[in-house]
Amino acid sequence: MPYVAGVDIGNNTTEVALAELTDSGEVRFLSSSLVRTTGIKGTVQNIPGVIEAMKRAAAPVGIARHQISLTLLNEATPVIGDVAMETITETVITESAMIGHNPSTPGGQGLGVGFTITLNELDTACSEKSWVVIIPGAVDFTEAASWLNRATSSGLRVVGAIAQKDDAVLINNRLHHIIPIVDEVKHIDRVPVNMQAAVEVAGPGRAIEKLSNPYDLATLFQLDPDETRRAVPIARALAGARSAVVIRTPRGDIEERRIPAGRITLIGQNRKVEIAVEEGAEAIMHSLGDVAPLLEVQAEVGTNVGGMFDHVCQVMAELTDQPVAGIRVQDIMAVDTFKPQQIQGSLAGEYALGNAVGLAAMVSTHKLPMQRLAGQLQEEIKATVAVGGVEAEMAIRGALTTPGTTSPLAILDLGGGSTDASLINSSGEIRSIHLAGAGDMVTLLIDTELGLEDRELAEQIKRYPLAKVESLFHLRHENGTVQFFREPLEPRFFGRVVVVSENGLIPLETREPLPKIVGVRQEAKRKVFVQNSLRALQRIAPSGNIRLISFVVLVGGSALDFEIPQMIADAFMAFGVVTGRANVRGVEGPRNAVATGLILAHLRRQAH
Amino acid sequence: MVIILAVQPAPEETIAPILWGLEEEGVPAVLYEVASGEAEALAKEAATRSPLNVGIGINLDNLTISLHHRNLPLERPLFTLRSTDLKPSHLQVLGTNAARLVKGDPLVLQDVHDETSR
Repeated sequence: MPYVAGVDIGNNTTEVALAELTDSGEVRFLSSSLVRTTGIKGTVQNIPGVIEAMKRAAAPVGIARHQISLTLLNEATPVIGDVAMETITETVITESAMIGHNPSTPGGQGLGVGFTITLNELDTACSEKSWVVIIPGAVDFTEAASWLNRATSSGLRVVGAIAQKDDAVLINNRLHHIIPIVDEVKHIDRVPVNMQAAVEVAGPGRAIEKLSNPYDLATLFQLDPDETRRAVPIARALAGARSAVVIRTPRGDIEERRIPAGRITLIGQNRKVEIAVEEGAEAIMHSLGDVAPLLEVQAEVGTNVGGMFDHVCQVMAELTDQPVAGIRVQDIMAVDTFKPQQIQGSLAGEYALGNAVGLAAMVSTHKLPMQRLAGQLQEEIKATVAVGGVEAEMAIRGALTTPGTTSPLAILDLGGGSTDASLINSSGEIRSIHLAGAGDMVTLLIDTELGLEDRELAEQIKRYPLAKVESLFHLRHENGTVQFFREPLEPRFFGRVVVVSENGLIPLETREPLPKIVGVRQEAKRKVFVQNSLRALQRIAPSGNIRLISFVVLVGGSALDFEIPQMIADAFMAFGVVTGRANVRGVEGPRNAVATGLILAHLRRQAH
Repeated sequence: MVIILAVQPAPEETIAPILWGLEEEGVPAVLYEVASGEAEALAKEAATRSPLNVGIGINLDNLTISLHHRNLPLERPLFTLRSTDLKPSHLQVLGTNAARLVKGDPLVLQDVHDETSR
């Protein structure tokens, strides 16, 4: 009985399905395997991975690799995707007009309005004005406290203080009169001297009320209506903080400035549109719809996006032995997001959220020279190797082995670099499409919004749920379940939000609360995969009507994610479509569809 | 409050930074001087007596200061400072960490701390 192997070489994984064919023309599937793809998909470097995968499939069946009489390879449609982030706004504080970093342990309580003065100058200050004292880190807190006490005893009105070190509480506890003190102001030397300033500290668990209200700022600083309007961004920036300082400098302000981020050109069959990236994702995606059907996208040289486009085309050119000039970016996806950035001109290292646009680009060409690979593989394993069929078709055939499915059926392949969809209708015709924006885009969004600057960590946050370590012996998972440990948890986990990965807990540095991080993760997945699933199905559905597709199965790496399939299913509920993770041959889950399809297609060919 | 047991005499310049760390974080602490004891054992006893379940033990003859918790095994305090670690900045961090242990906030970690490995 001949043994046949179906081999699917993907961007990340190489999968094998192994079957035997009976004389009566039936097939019996025996085993499957999965290994990391070696080298770039479609090159002869894949061969070691293929051989390893075949070995692993043959072993549990008890046959030797050379007993496999026929090996079928997928005709891979190369798709290269990449992502880039463009920041389009930044926040700038001019003339050191405010301090809003919200330190964890401010001192005292209340509101103090006066003129700023450094501690050394305090002895020569006049008693008619009120003073906000600037305390540099070089001065010990006991010394600072006694200095302030001396000053108040001699009749000076000290109404507030700004300290460089984290010792506001220590200072305040030693004062005769409680004053509001904001500490941890790193760049204390930049605090303007002899300017009117207001310091406010709220009680524990509360937020400031005056400095976050434009009309109170107007009252405190005698602002006219125009100046009050200009003070609004400052008031807004301080809303929700437990402590803050506002300094009345001549033209001091906090403003959000736009950053030019280049233009992209969308070339459709009938129309061409040029749009600036800073107009945002919604505008870009809208324009994309306007020029449909899209032929090509071009980006401005010298921008992040332009660099990404170049890279994607370069990789494709090398892969397919074509000149770079002939390669075109065929789809993009834009997503609006936020990026925490250091505020320029900040006194205490404050961060603000800048607007950013995440962009994914995709290039695909028709065929890879799989024949070359097949030929070399045949030589190496000394058995017949054939290129079995178009990937999309093989994928659908494999997906149809999922119990409970029938045509019309669509598969959504949720990969790393692209989201691919294929549809088979009741007549057996197949349409397929590739879209930019997939797993890598989700990771980029998480990385950007949490300000991690660590793609690998972002990847872990994407894949695994979170927990909060509440004591030395227990943590609370994001779903509320509490888990206890016999051995105490390491100090580096204590009190932190951690990623519960399969290799152990990963502590996060961020100060954000757990629900916020969960929100970022889920929104990133929704913004990319739900949007793209809808986009993809609308393109391949008959007359663009998703309702006419009865069944949708999800395959690919991201189909294994713990929340993405449910999000997509929820989005499709409105269309009356059955959506779920595939279960190839009733045993493989969302894996092995193409490998399985290759064998089934071969069977069909034999029968004819 | 956090309880601190120190083998006498416990000099001001060693005790003060620890107390400042706790004070800045807003957690109360009480110091008692004792005649003798190993830092770890004292810390454990202090933690057991403390209504906040956190204790610090100080034995400067042995140049050792330990931070312990009621629920940790005796031989595994959370942190132990020894000899060259006993600088004011490290002592203040120990106080900060004692307070954060009580509050459930993330700890300040420095390489010099002799973290009892888990």
